Amino acid sequence: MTDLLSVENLTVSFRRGSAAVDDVSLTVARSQTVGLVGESGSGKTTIGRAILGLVTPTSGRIRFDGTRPGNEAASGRGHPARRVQTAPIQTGLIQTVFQDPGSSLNPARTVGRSIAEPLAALGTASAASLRERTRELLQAVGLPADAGGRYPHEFSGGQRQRIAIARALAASPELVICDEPTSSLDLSTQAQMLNLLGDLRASRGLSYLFISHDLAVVRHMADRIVVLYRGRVMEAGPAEQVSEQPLHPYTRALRAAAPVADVARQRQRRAERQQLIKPGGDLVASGADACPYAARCVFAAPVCVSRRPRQVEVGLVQLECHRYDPDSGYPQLSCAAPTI
Amino acid sequence: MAQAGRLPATRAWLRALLHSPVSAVSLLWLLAVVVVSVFAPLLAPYSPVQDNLTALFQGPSLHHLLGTDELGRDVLSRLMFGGGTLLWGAAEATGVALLLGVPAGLLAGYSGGKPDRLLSWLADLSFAVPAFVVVVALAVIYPQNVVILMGALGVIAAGGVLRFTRNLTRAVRDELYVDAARVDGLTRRQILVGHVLPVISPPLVVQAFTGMSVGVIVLASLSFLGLGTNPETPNWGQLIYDASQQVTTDPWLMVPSGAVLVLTVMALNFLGSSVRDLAPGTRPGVRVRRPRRTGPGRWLPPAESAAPDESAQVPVEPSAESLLRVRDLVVAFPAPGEGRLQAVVDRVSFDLPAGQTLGLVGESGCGKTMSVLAIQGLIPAPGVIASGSVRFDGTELISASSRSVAAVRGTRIGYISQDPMTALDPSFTIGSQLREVLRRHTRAGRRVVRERSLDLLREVGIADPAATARLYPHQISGGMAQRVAIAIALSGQPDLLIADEPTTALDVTVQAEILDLLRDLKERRTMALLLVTHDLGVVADACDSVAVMYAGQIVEQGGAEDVLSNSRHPYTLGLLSSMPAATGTRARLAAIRGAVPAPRDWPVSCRFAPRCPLAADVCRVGPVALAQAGPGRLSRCVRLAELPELTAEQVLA
Repeated sequence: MTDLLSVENLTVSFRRGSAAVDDVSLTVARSQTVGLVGESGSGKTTIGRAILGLVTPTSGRIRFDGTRPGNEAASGRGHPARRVQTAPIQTGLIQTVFQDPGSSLNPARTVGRSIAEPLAALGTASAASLRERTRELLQAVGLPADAGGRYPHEFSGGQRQRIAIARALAASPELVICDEPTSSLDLSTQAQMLNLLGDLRASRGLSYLFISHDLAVVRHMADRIVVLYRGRVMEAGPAEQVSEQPLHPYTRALRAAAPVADVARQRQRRAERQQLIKPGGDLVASGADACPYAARCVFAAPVCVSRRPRQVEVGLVQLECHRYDPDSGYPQLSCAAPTI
Repeated sequence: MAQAGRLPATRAWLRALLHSPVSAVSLLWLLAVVVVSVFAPLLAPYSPVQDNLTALFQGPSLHHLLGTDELGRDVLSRLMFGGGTLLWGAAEATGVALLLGVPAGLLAGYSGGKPDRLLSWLADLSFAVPAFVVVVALAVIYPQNVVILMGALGVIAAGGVLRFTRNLTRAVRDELYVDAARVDGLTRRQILVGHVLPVISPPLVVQAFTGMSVGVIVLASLSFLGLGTNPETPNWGQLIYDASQQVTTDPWLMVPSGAVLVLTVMALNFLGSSVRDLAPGTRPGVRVRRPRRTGPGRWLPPAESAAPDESAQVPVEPSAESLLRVRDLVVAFPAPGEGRLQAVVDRVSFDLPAGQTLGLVGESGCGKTMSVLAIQGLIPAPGVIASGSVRFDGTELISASSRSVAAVRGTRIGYISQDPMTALDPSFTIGSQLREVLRRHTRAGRRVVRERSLDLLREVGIADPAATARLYPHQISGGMAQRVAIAIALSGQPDLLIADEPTTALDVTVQAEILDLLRDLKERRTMALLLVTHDLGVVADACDSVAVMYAGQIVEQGGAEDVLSNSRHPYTLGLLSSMPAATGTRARLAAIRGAVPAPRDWPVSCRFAPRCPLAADVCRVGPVALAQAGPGRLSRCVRLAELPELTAEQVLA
């Protein structure tokens, strides 16, 4: 598989202060879905916005290898993102579906105009073909073809999110960045939306960078999962492995904290999470040369607050955790199977 | 398509504008003023400056409909000629202000940084200029030159327009649809003209109309002072001045000129606000009359209640010692445009024994929050509790006076909401807010209250209570804020804690901590917990029993373990199968089709039938009652008997 998108050592800092995204690397292969999971402040949204060119990286490279040529540029200081992003954005090859369907459509425009915008921005389509394409897209996302003349406030949250998806598909993108596309929706609407995104991926050969706080949703959508905490990658690997047998203490806590709708299984999970989550840990900030998760980690040893973990590979999974690094000096290290 | 969509929209918009009597009259008045001013030479019966010394100070008559003035000139003719200058001048000032202020404001607001600082500085400068004094001074230099005077007024007013436009633009700049447009490679100009301007134009239109009316007044005032316009072409301000000179001899002269000026200014202002209200995306405020004291007779129930609901005869656990006993609770709101009330919570009944946790679960719009607000007597106007009974520890809360409900609420019933920040006042420290609530409940001295507030913070798991008490709400995390909100709710030693989506806004690891805290508190204090949630995982984690709501009704009720592992209602089964955890990667979820309908669209028969894969003709016959579905279990499904043979996947296949 060739990499459609590759993000290398991306760092984004806002003002003076710690980095919102700290040295993150990830790739999305063609027709692959990569899930980006983390809690608030993990930097997942900022990564998406940096790829879209909406925030300027402090350092790092973002490469997009779309079918149309001329879209790579090195980036360092200055305003690299603009140069990097120009090509794919202008040809509409990267598109986005945002979290809040209330704000992702202009209230003063008919939804038809909003849907046609990416295509109109390319400037190649005639008015008649735009109209035809809008009808087709509305049908593709399960809305009546003649809904284009109405305004966003006439639709429910779920319908607006369908419209946002139609808009994202208008210019036939190769990569769609979905930033929490279902987290403001009800359970049944979320399920419909995940099905729709899955169907569209299959029928149009799309790649997704799927950003969510919900490990179960990401697990459902993604082939690969990247777990973020405070702007750093904690664990990355095949979706099934990361979500079912997570190794990193943070991923394990994340998994154990998500309740399941089964009283007996949830009882086990609760016991597990009570072992894995240190209450009140959100108070303590860790320094630059510590593991960002050390303050909340039940396994934290002195080395975790004195040195930053480096990336290690365990099977197919990449981890940043001293527990899995034989050279880290973590006490009682047993690489294969930590006890809990 | 844009064109096709726009034309009917404009027509509908104009129709809506004319539908409101005030704006229709305002529009007609302004049109009349404009038409009359333009065609004054044709329409006016006399010349505005023609003296007639034989007919001075005549009252209204057939010859002179509005009478004559001190030189015998026809007042009506003078009025007809006198509006044009004012409107032209005002339009010029407004046009100049908008042409300068709007583009500059858009640029400043969208770009930020240096252009913003420079332009904002210019705007600030314009505020320091006393506009009227400048215009008066200019009038001395350029007497009777309306173009220069009003142009100068427009330039000075542009500062205000700039600032206004800038602030509106800043608010729109960070909207996601602007981001989406940027992703599509639209230029700054395209975004400003195509996205920002249409959204900010309604308030700008209001500003323009207000500017017009100010312009009219300024120019009339200048004329009144004898500075504005040529006496040969009198405008209304000058007519008022002339009339004021004669006010002792002929007070009538004041009436026509004063009236047209006032009416024109009023019409401009009315029209401005009507235009804003009608912009797409903004809904005009729907005025609903709050019904007077609602007796049972005033509530027109949905057709369903013709059939007696059996739920009253099949209580969940007929226990006399239930702490909270809700029976046939109906919460209703006035249906817009109709005189009747629409039930949004329909005959909800449940029991909650002391020390137990009941989950109220369902999607948004199903009446969960309204149910728990009704228990506390907090239904927002114009909603009412139309009927039913809420007994708390043997006391009826619905018929009780609001004072005795208030005594129970906050002390014996505590409440926490989804957004803990709403429970906290941003301008006081955590400690002082907690102490204030404690003082309301006890008569203890300062030191005791302080001690108790720190104990409460410690009890909700805050590691350093003394330090936390000194913080302001914005200095703490969402999870900590929810702990503080719980501490405040606990301050009255409640027997019942109502928690409305207490963890929805929190991160999942913080949610786990809050759920552990709630369980811990419940056990330690033998407190009952009524937990509203949309998350079946939270139900599994925290609840002893559960009531599933759909479209205002309870559709399934029973022990949490029974309902989750062996549901007896298609809606609950649908919710369970909608959860992504249940299936593997890339599989389709068995989603319920459609969405929760709005209350006015609730079917008379089974309310879930339109979305239910099991729906048959029998489901569409009439209302469905809650029926016994096993020991301690209820389900509102006609096909209940067939359900046990089906799994969720089969039901929703």
